[in-house]
Amino acid sequence: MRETLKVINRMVKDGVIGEYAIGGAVAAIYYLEPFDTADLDVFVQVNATANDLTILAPIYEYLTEQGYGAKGELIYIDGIPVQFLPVFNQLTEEAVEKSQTIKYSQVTTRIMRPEYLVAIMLDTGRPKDYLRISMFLEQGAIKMRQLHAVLKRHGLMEKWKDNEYRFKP
Amino acid sequence: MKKYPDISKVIEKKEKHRRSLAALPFEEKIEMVFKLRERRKFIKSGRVVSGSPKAEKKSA
Repeated sequence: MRETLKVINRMVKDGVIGEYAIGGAVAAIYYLEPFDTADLDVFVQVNATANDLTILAPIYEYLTEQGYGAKGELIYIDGIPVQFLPVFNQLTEEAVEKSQTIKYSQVTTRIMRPEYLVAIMLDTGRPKDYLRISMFLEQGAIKMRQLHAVLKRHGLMEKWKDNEYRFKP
Repeated sequence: MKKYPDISKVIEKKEKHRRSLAALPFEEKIEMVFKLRERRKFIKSGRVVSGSPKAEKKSA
């Protein structure tokens, strides 16, 4: 994954993407125990303004020109299937902005904070998201005060209250 | 009334193990994810995984 992150950092340098942050399962694994996952979700700020996923086209062009293969929406960078996702609402935009810098095998990268991961999972609301929220709570990996602040800011407090019983350890 | 064994110690141990896994360095955890992925590929392919009773029988 080291090489994958280096390529993504180079994309920022080359102006293909703006700021980025790792989200999804890989980001969750940073805070929790490891579990199986299919891909590396990378949330990116892109400069273009469009309503559809054509805004991701320059990313795919840049990477395929460099010889990386795409399969559906995934692009394989150094053997890792990467899913680029544009920030698609205020919550994901803020999650990228407030992400933290970490080192992975001496490569600098950005990773979403746990409170944002939980808020995004709550918003998405699939059974596997709820399961992971439980894991975050069980392991005390989130600061409840900060989580509530994020949820309030993004209108998710009611959904949290409606579903909180599912997440209680 | 039938008596059942108390497995709370086992559950406790499992929880402890999960916490120790969560505390591992990120790089190690990602390495474990790759191993899990390899296992999943094996299982999906229907090939015999070493260590399974069938594989042991074959190699005997």
